[in-house]
Amino acid sequence: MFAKINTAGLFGIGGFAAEVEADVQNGLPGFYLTGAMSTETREAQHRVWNALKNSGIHPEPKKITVNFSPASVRKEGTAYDLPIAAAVLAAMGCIDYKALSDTGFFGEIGLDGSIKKVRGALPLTFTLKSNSIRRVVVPYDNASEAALCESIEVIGCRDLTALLKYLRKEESEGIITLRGESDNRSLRERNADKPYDAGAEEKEQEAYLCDVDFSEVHGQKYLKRAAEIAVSGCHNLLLSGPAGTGKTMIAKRMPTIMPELSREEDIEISKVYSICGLLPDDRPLLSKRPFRSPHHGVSEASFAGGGINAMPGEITLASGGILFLDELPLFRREVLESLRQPLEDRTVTVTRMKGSCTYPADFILVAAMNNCACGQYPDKRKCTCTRGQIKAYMGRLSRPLLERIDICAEAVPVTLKELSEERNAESSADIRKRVIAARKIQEERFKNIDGVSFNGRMGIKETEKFCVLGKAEKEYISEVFKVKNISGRTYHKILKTARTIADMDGCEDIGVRQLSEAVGLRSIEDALFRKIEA
Amino acid sequence: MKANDKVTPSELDPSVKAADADIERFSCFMLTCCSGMGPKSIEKVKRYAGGCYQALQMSPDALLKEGILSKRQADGFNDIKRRKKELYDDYRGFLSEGIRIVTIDDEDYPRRLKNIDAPPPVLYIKGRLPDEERPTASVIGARSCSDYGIAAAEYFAGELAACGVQIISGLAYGIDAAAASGALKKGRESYAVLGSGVNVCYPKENYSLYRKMAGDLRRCRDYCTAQGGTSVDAGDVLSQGGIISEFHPRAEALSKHFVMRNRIIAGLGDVLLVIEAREKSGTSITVNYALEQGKDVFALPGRITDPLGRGCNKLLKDGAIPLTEPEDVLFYLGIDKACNMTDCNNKEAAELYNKNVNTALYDNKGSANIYNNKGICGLSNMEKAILSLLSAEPEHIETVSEKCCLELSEAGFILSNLELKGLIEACGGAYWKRVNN
Repeated sequence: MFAKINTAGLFGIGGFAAEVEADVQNGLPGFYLTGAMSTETREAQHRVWNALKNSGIHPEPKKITVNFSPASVRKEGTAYDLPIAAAVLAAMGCIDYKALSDTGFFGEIGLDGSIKKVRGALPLTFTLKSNSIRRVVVPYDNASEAALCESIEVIGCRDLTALLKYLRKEESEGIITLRGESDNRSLRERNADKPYDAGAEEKEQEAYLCDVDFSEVHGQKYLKRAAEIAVSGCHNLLLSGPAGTGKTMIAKRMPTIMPELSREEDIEISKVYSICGLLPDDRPLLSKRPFRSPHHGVSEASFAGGGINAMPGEITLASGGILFLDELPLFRREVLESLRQPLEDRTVTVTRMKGSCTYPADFILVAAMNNCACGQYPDKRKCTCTRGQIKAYMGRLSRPLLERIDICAEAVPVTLKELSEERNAESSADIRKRVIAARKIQEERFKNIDGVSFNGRMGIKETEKFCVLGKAEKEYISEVFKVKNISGRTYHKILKTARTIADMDGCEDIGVRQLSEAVGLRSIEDALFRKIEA
Repeated sequence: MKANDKVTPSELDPSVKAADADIERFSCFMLTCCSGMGPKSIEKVKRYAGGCYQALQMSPDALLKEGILSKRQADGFNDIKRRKKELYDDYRGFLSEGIRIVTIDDEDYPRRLKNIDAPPPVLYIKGRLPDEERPTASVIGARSCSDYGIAAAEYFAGELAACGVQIISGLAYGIDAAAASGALKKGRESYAVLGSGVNVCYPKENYSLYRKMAGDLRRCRDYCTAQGGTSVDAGDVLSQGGIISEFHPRAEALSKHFVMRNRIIAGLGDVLLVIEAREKSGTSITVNYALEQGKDVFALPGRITDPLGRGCNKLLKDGAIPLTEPEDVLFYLGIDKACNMTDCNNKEAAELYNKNVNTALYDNKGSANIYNNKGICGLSNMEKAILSLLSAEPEHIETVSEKCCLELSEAGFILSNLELKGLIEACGGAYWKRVNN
C-alpha cells in the first residue's frame, strides 16, 4: 500500500518542501531508501525499523520502499526520521495518510522510539507553512521554537507511541499542542513548573538582555564616543591601542546600545541560530543582538560559512549585531579577505559542490588591535619591539579591509586611579536613546532609497546627495586635504561619519565641527602607516 | 697555487708601477682579511716583522712557533696567501668603486685615531674623512628613543654643524639618524662610522642618509672617468660627509662589530654628546672609550622618571657636562658662533646671523626653542592653552580634553585647527604632538 507524508529540508537559511513516499509490497522482506541523500539520512532505515518494533508495532515482513521527492536534491540530516516513520506507518495501514495531507513532519528518532530535537526547526516550520501546511508534528523539545511561526498548529511529540495515540485521537501525556505564537508563553510556564508571573518574566528578560552595561567602563571617553557614532550610523569600527585598555570591554557592550530587535529581525536572526543549533535551551527566540567574537585562529569555512554540509559561519551568526575581531592582525589573511564581499553586499554566498547558498551578513564590524606585538607602542618607554617588528605587525593588515572601516579610534592608556575612581558613567540605556534618535533621522532620510538604511551603508551616489557641504566646510576640508594627504576613498568615509555625527547632534547640515571630528576619527593612515621615524 | 705565491701586485698589474706604499697597503688589506686577526694581532705581527709586506713573506709556522700567531691565525695566514690573487682583484675592485682604503701608516689616516687603544689598521671610506683642522662632535644615544630625543639630537647636531663642527654618529636608528639628518639638513657634513662594511647600509631604512653621506657613487665614477683617472677624489666633490668603517666593505652588520666601532666613534669626536640613553646600554661602552681616550662627555639631562633619561642623568652625576644649549659645546670647543659660520665669512652676514640666532633660537623665556613658533600670535586663548600642554611627546586627545576641562569634540576641533595651522601634528589615531623645526 502506498502513502505520502509532507516534510521539508534545510537549504541555506531557508528550506525546500519535500515529500516522503512509502510503499509496502509483497516480496523479499527489506527496507529500501531511494532519492539522493547523505549517509546519516540513509541510516534512518535502521533507526526507524527498530524504533517501530520497540514502540510495540510489529511490521509485517514485507518489502518496504521509501522514496524522497524531489529526488534531485540531496537530503542531509536526521530530521527525515519522523516523516519516514509516519510514511511507513501509513503505508502499513496503521494511520490514515489522507487525513495528513495538510500535516508536515520532521524529527529525529532514537532506537527506543523517542523523538529527538533537531536543528533548524524554525526555518523548517516556516517552509512548511509557506507550502500551505496547517499542522506540523515536531519533536517535543522543538515545539516552542516551531510555534514562533504564526497561525500554524504545532504538535510536539515525545515518542512514537504518543504520536500514534494522537493520530488515533486518543489522550496522551507525550503530546503538546500549540497554536502558533500565542501559546508560547503558556508552554514556557508549563516547562518551568512555576506559576506564571509577568513581572518576574520581565525582570528575567531584562537580566538576560543586559548582562553587561556601558556604565561599567571607566574612562575611555574617546572610544565610547567612537562606539556610539559607529552604532548610530552602522559604521565599521577599528579600536587600536595598548593591551588592557578596555577595547574588548567596549566592543562587548556595543550590542547593548543598539536598538532592540524588531519581531521580524528577531525571527530572521533566530532562524540562523536555529540552523546552527545555537538557540538557548530555555527560550525559543534569541531576543538579544548577537555579539560574535571568533578566535583569531578561526578557519575560513567556519568564519564565512561552508563546510561539507554548508553551514552559516561566524559572520552570518553576527548578522544584526556585532562581529568583533580581537587582535585583527593575527587573523589569517584569507579569513580577513573573505570579509570583503559581505562588507559590500551585506550577504555572503557560499558555493559548494551541490550549489551555492546565500546567508545574511548584515553586521557592524568591530576590530581591535594592538599597535605592536608587545602591545605598548607608541609608548616607546614601555615598548620592547624593534622597528622591524612593529612594521611587520602593522604590515599584516590588508589595506582593502582598512578601506572598508569608517571609524578608527585609538585608546588612551588607563591608570589605576582612573580604574578605581567612582564615576557615574553613562548607562547603555541612556546611550541607546540617543542612538535610536539618530537612527530615526536616517530612517526618514533613506525611506525611499532601496538597500540603504544607514549613513554607514551609503554608496558614493547617496554620499554625494546627502552630504552636501557649505562654503566654509568646503574650505575647511580642502585645508585638511593639503595637510593630511587624504585619498578619495577616505574623503567619502569622512563625509559619511560627519553625516552621522550631525544626525546625532540633530543638525540638518554638516558643520565644520562635525567634519573635524570625523577627520580625527579617520587618522588610521597616520597610525598604521605611521612613518617610523629614522 | 704555487705559481700564485710568487706573484706580487706589481706583476699582476704591470700598467701600474706599484709604489712601496701601495704594496704595503695591499698587504695590510690582506692581513685584515685574515680570519682571527684583529687590530691588536695585526699590530703585533707588523711590529715583529717590520711591516705588513714583510709579515706576509714570513712563514706562518715560524710565527706560530714564536708565539706571534695562534694556531687559528696561522691557518688564516696560509689561507690569505693562497687567495692572494682573489684578494687583489677585490682590492682593485673596491678602489675602482670609489672606496678609499687608508692604512694606519698613511699620511691621511685620521690623527685623532692614531692615539686610541687598538687603532684600526685599515679604514674604508666612502666620501670623505673628517677634516683634521676642524672640530668634531660625536653624537650617540638610544635607538628606540623618544620623539623629544629625536628633536633634541636634530637640533644640537644642526646647530653645531652650522657653526662648522663636524658631526660623527653611527647611522643607527633613533638618535644617530636624527643627529645625521640634523647636520645634513643644515647642508653640513655628517660622518657615519658603521658596524658593517661601507658597502652595506645597515639599517636599510637609513639609506637616504647613507647615500647623502657617501655621495652618489655612480656619479662619482662617471666623474672620475671624466677627469681621466683616479687622481681626483670624487667623494670630496659630491658627498656630504662620509661613511667610515674598519670592516671589509662587504662585511655583515654583526653585534660584535658595533662594540668595536664605538671606539672609532669616540675616537673621531673631539667631544661626545649623549642625547638619550637607558641605564644599561651600548651608549655606556662608547662613553667609556671616550673617557679612556681623555675626551669630555656632554649629556642631555633627562627626566628622573624617564628610563631614557636615566643613562644621561647618571653620567651627569658622575661628572659629565650638562648639555642644555649648543653654546655649551661651542664654548668648550673654543668656537665663536658668529665667526665660525663657514659660509658667513663677511662681517655683515655674521651680524645678520647673530640677530637671527637671538630671535629665532630662543623664545621670550630664554629657553632653547626646538619648536616652531610661527603663527602663534593669532591664536585664541584656548588654542594657546592646548598648545602649551603639548610637547614633542605625543599626548592622547582624551588626556588633553581632561586637562583643559573640554568636551572631547571641542578639544578635537581645536586640535584639528592647530594642526591646520601647522603647529601640531597627529601621530597615530588619537595622539598629538608639537611640530619641531
